[in-house]
Amino acid sequence: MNKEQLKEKIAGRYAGRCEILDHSPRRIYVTIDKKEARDVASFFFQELGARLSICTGLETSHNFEFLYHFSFDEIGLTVTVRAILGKANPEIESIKDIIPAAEWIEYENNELLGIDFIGNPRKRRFILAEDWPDGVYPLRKNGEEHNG
Amino acid sequence: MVKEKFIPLGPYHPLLEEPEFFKLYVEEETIIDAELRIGYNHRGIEKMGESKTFDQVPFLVERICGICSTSHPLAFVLAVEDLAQIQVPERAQYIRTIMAEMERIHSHLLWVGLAGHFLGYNTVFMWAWKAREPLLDTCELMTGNRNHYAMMKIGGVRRDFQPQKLETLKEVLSEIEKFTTMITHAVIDDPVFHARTKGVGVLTKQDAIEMGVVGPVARASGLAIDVRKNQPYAAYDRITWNVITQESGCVFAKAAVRLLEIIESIKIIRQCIKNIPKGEIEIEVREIPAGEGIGLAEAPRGEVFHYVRSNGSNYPERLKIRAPSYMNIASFKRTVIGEKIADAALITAAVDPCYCCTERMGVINKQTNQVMLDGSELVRLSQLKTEEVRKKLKCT
Repeated sequence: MNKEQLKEKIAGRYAGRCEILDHSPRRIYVTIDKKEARDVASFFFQELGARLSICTGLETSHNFEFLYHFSFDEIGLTVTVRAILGKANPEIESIKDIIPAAEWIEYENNELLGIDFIGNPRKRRFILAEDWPDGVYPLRKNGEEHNG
Repeated sequence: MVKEKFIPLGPYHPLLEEPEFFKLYVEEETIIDAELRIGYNHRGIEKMGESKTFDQVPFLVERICGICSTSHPLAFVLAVEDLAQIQVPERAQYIRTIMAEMERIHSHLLWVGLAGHFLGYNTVFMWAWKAREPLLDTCELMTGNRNHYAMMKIGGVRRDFQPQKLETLKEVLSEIEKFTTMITHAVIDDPVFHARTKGVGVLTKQDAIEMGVVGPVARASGLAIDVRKNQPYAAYDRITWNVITQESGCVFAKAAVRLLEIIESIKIIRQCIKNIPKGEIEIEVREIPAGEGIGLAEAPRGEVFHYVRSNGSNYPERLKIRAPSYMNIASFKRTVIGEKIADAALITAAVDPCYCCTERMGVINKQTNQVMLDGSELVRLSQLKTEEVRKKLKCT
């Protein structure tokens, strides 16, 4: 499989429902609907044999984004799958039963950014201190106002 | 009835890239479950990165880890260079490669020494650290510092290497090569080392894939992944070298991978010194456009991942950092269950997450919360086991 074939496979699976950006020789960005997240996980990890490098959660001025960075080591390619989440109630389905490595990644994003992962509720503190206030998420852009 | 007990293992030391805390549930001598808690040393570096200019961030991420103080800034500048499509001068690419490999050698030597200590081979510990010391001095000679080299910048490197300093490096490498060859043979020929490490703490290939492990941990389980080969950066694609893999996934395999990688790193540096071109070491970067970029570098412990989002200002809008141990530590749950307490220190050591935390490991009675065994006691247990194995094998 080479880069072009991979792009075709992705475009075929999510025909009309994804946007593919060929950023540079080793980087592709794919934007999908967040409802496809679990399908993306099984398609990339189980069918295409990609490795989940890490996920990035981030807040922009309009919304939240959750990015899955998949690494195709054999062809030296990093494919980032982007799901856009709502500003008011950011949530997305968990993929931890499909990719076990995602369990802690989801805990981390839940705790630091307040994204809810349906099917992977965090039972206790994972990164922040035990006495950190509930509902305050340090990586959010309005985090500063809670610092005082 | 057996009382339920757990061993707290951790938390972390400021020197390392990630804090961690393991709770090992034990039944008699056997570990039956493990839990993880990280964040004891969470410094909010990702958030801090949003308030530093692009030029300041390399200094910040350099301080994530005292050992990987080349890998993190390198991954960051690669991310920004990917974002802005910046081409780095050839000489800078070679300098980056030399720096990264020096870091790998001193990190692996540190590991060899500590693994020796855990096994009760304190001679190995002292020898390995003796061999490592001249390399750190050479780092200081070439960059001004034993750690935190401040070499990486967007568009190149900050400091050039003079030819006579490269000659010193060559001499130091010859000594390290002699030592590593000697110690590798000693390890391969030692029946006690075999008995303590072969088949212990096995991470199967399937587990390695599921947990997404990287670096020597993945390579010891038969996954030939290495950013230097898969997505070559710096000068790695101009150089001949091998990715070291083993199939068994046990502690022995992890030790073998690291020892053999030292030899490969020496090969890489020698070729770099031979082929390094003359010329500029940086290009001027005036501004960083809006966009996003990903930088990957192979640290001694595996793939370092940096994601940078820019909105066109001087500051990153988001900086995401994933150090290799974040993935590797998770594999611990698959390797440690069913093993003995005396092997726990060694299995942790094989992942190479942090030694300082194993120093603080202790067995606590859950009912009374009383410390029954502390870190030094666990190391003693491990050393005692080596002693017993040695007697059983009748070698003195």
